[in-house]
Amino acid sequence: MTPQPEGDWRPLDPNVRTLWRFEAALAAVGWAALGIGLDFLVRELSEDGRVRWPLPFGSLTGGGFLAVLVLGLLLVTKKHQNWRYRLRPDDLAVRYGIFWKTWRYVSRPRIQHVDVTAGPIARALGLRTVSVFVGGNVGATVTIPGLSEAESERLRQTLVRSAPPSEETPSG
Amino acid sequence: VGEPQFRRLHPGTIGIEIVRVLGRFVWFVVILVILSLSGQRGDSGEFFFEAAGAIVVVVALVRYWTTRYAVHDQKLIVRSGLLVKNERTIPLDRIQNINFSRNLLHRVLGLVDVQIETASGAGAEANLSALGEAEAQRLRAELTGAQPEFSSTEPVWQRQDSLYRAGFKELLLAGATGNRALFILASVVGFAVLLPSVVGQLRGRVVSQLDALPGPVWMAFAGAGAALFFVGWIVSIVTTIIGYWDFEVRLRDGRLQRTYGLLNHVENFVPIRRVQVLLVSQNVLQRLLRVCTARIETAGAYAASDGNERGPQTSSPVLSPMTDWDGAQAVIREVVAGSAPGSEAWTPISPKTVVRGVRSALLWAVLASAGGWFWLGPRGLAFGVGLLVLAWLAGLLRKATCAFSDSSEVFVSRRGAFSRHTSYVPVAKVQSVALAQSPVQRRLALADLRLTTAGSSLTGVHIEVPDLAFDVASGLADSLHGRSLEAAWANPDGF
Repeated sequence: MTPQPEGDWRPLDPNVRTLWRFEAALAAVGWAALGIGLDFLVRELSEDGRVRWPLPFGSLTGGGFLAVLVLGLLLVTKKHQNWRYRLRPDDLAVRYGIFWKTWRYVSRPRIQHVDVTAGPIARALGLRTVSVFVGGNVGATVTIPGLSEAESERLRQTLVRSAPPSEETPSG
Repeated sequence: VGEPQFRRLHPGTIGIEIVRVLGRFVWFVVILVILSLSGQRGDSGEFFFEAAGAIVVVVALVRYWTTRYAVHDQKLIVRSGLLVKNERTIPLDRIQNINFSRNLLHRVLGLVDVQIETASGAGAEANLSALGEAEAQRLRAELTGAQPEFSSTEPVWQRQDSLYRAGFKELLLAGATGNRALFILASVVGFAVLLPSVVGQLRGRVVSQLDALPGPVWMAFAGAGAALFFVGWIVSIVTTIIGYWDFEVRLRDGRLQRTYGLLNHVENFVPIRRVQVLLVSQNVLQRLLRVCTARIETAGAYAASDGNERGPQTSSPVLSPMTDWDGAQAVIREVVAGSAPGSEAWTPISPKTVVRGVRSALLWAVLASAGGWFWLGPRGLAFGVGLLVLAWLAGLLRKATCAFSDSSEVFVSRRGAFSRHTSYVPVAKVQSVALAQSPVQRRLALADLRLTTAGSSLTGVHIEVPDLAFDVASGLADSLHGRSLEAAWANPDGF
């Protein structure tokens, strides 16, 4: 099912799930490559070609591959359901996380600059990532992955406008 | 408005630059000298030496000839570069702070290194090395005169402006109790552990000689370690006293002036409204002696260093190297408007932090027990149990020490059972607010509150209050966010 907006909190573009599935598959392949490499190394290093290890190393490779893949694929839907952002006239808030949850709030006048980026897969899916930078170190950057092109443009336009949003005083 | 009038650096720059480059390659130079003296490489060594020397001189000359600067139309313009021309423009109202430093050579030649910082990036945005003393003062007046909170005339510092002055006793304490001594101790211990095996492998003879010494070998090593530690301790005290010699902070017309240093004299200016965070820290020794160190963070990264040529370091500018609590309170009250040090209404974190700590450690305890069982049999379970006990104790300490205090203008957080750190954050300086919740915290309805400011702490420390009741944390997050937003609209450029 597609998550619905809850009040002002909007979900990400549904296509982002496809992107995350690709990323999960890539991560799994990465794990497998690492495992096979280690396996090979251990076999080379052991004298008689037999690995003294409680489990054959190959199981770690295969297991790791499967675990990363299955977990990645299973959690994609959940991750998408839990990812929300809220753009109000004078601030931006995001909340995300399945097990470890995070809520972050950034005031619009604090924003230094906004980046819109897209990797090759994301581009093919029509997705953009919006990164919002405020003063301070790297930890202060807010990144929203998986927005449609139009939505990312709307966000960028709204966020980099420098005048106060309305005639009324911003509420505390 | 007219054309910008570009000015040159002081000709003494050439000398300074040569010495600086030589200093940077001091080991290379030493090796070259040894090579040429040893005669093994003979001519080629000498050739290298001369070539390197020539390059250094040429580089210094080029730097002097190509660097020009001007203050024009509310901007500082710095041009440099021979092949790749570089022109940097810094709007004067973006300048975060101005740093003057002089090492021994500068002082002999009457020169000043001027570093100018904005809120971006690492390191000083403009480094004018070196200017004559009078020119440096003039430039500073031009740069700061444009800032609205300053009058255009340089204040005449008066006796009553002094906010804090470090006496010899304070510096002695700072050197004697600073972390450097502990660091040296740790490295000596590590060295002493490594040494026997290294010595044993390299020179059996030495070990046999050591065996002939009265008393066991480890006593000799312990003695040597203690002696090394003592030497390190003395070095730490001496370097601190020399580095912070005659430390004084003055405050007038909204600007802080810090001056210190015996050999390398530093004069640093920070507009007080640029202060992002004030940190008060005490290690265990310092808590016993009831003294503390106060630091400030500004948005300029170079200010994070204590203003010498080695570039950005991991510590924030020191406001008072060492002071008793009364002295610190006076400084905090002046520098962070609206703070009430010593009479804060502290709110402790949730008592559930103890349970949270134990439950978070549960998975690790199970793993440690399994590992222990695998290696040692049933006795190995002690690893897991020990881990849980440690987590429980840590939780008790956390519950007793972590607290926050929120007045309308200033948010204060306190943490650390052994080393104590207290952060004073003007709410107007808050850049972002976040809540974080782990699975264990979710079940206990707890959350961590995190604040970031534009303070360029290279140590990456943000202000964090752990294990608050979720309602308290989210209420606090909303309130802080709302108040900082109001301040941000009132002063959109504000760092």
